[in-house]
Amino acid sequence: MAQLILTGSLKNLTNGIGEFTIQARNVHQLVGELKRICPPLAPLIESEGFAVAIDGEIYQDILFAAISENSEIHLIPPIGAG
Amino acid sequence: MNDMTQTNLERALKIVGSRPARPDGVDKVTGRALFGADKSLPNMLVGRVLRSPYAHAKIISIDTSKAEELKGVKAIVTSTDFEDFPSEFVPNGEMVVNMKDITRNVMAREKALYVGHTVAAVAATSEDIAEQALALIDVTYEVLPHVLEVEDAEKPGAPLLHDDMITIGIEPAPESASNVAKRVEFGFGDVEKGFSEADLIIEREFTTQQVHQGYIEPHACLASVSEDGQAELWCTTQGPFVVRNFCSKLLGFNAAQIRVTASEIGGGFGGKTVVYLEPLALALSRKSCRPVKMEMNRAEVFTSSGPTSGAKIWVKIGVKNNGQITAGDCVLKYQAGAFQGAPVGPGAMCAFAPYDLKNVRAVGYDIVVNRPKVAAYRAPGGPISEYGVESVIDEIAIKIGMDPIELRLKNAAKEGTIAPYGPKLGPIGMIETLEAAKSHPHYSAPLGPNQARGVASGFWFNIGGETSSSITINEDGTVGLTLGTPDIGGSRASMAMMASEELGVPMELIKPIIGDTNSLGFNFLTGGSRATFSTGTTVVESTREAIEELKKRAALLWEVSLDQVEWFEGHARLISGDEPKTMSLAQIAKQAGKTGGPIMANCSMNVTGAGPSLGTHIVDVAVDEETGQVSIIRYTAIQDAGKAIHPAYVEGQMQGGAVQGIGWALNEEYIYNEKGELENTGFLDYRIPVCSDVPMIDTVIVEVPNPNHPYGVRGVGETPIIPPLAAISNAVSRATNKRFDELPLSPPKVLAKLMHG
Repeated sequence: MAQLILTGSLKNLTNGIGEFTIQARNVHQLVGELKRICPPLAPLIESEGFAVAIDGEIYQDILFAAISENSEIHLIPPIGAG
Repeated sequence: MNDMTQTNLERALKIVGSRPARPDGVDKVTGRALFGADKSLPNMLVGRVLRSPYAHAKIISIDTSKAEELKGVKAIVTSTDFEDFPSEFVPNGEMVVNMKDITRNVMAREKALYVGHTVAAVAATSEDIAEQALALIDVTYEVLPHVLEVEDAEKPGAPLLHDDMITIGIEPAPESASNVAKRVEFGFGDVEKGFSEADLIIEREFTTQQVHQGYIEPHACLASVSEDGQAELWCTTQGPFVVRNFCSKLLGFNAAQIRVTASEIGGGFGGKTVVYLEPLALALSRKSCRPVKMEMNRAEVFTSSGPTSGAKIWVKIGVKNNGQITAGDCVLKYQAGAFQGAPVGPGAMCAFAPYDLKNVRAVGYDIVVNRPKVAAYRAPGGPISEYGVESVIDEIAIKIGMDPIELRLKNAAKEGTIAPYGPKLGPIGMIETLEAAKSHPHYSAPLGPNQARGVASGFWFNIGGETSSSITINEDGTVGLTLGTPDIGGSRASMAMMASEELGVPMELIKPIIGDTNSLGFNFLTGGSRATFSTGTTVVESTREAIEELKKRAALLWEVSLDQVEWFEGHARLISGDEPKTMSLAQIAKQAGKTGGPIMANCSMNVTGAGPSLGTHIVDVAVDEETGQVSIIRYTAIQDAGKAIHPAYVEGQMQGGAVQGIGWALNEEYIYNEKGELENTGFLDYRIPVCSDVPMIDTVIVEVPNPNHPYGVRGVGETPIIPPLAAISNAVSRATNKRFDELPLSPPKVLAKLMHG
């Protein structure tokens, strides 16, 4: 099972819980899982207001980025362009 | 990393890493290159903008009737000519934008929110008539109190810019509106515990001023909308596809109706990633059925385009006597301008990112004020937050008696470090740039009287994103490349070099161009240091696809199977058989029509795997204690590029970023009077560095390859603006034995500190 780790202000949306175990093979499935286990987090990805870091690599707006059994997942704001 | 990537990173390269002449060079030095204001059409009208004279005012009414009666006036537009939108964040390419704010920034609706805010626009047969028409537009305002600084804007009772702005990121949500749009927080560990373990804690507040990108070419565009609603737009922009999407939404076009062509660009640095004149010109052209050309003058660029934030920063760092940092904490308050969207999120994310910390917290506030809405500026948000952190790091080094590079090395982020924003970092070059700085002759060179040396490091993420490009093999063996990311820093040369390396043909045979929005799939803009990384990835992929097709054609002509053909130095080569056979790219191309038709390939993808870039800068300054003048004596910029495709361009980016950072550190600032009017709207009073202000910037390119790019590219455009702010401030502090905590370090401010402490 992959591990979703939340830090900073995201924990405000989960009553301070910083780690979730997630069963998902890609970001699309991750959104579905978040809707089920932590509804306030799902809109962050669905609205494209957040990127997903999977094992350190940042995926911005890529629904089918692969998540493996032991992946570590973080939600982070999308990085802008200068 | 795939096999092809390994092959590229390990093989000897012939073109990549060399320094050929730039493909756009002759046009630029002969004046032939067409910039934003250079395009003209028959029957073209001139567009001009009426701007608010007030920093904050309700718009009671706008009467355009007298202006409409003026002979030669062909169209006038106000907010009623643009779509309105609810306040919600919607995707636009890779950006999330609030269209309610964008339509109001393009054209004020209920209120004018800064001096220079667009209120109406006119198209007329001449510049004089357009100016006369502006004077005939009667706008009735109700002037409101304004607020310019974040510390005033966040106070209870401050003038509210938006009555419905409830701070996001605070639980429970506030019940009343304020000027604080958003609170963000990043970090992990226990900072209080970390501070309790420290032998020394330094806590300091910093101030930075609003600064502009200072691109030499003002915003300019030419729009032509035909009677059947088809629109052509030529403009100076970093992102023609993003311009198309913004304009189509604002004006009710569909995307296919607007064809945007990016001109050559005279600097952007993030400031040409949004729209100002473009929707106005399209609206005026649609109304008049004639082409409309619009240009900003320099004052308009300063008052009405998007500079970056001024800010208040609080930084606290705890450290053991041996230099081990035990905790880092910061609070960042960034000006957003009139609409939310300060780059405080990335600022908070990268504030401590050069370091491997166990206890770290960065809190940021996005605060609206009656200034122009900020736009991106090279590593948006990063220079400000890292200035504060790198200044405190230097102060710690002095207090514990440790060399500032050694202190950074002791705490440097490396592969596997958990970044303050959460994920583990991949391979990065922080240690390598610090080691290069330590061993550089500059670092041990003797200093003169009143001189001192400063050091600072910087981190920037870099990005990928949606990208398309195509390659065409012409029948004479030359090659066309069509790219969708405007060339703002030499990307045409870099793309041609990568294609040349792959194909094994001379770069001179490859012609790269920037395509319009009808010629390729969507491309996110040139920014985020992404063009060489993202577009380079698609160019390599499409070139490899073209090579496969070339091999197929050779196999057909030789009547062998494809697996009997390999590609080697611009030729198909038959692997089997007694006699060696080769066929050049030109020979295959000549017969393309007879072997299946034209040969081309394209690649469209959402590119991932951008590698962060780290840099370390060394600067020597001299401080004139009688005048407060700070002079840059020597400057060295060291940066991890991953792989420098064209080292001269990489060095140019490092030098350019360093010089912009020098300007930010020493002189640049928006100066407002009590009415909220900007007082320095020209380059005489808003002083960017000129050649005589800076020495030759020495550069050292460090190459720690990014495993996610075929040649290891990271992207280099943004990181070099981050270290100069702190490096110079640290040097001035060391030269004067006074800790400076405010930018710019202009002579009056330095002198005041020297005299009054």
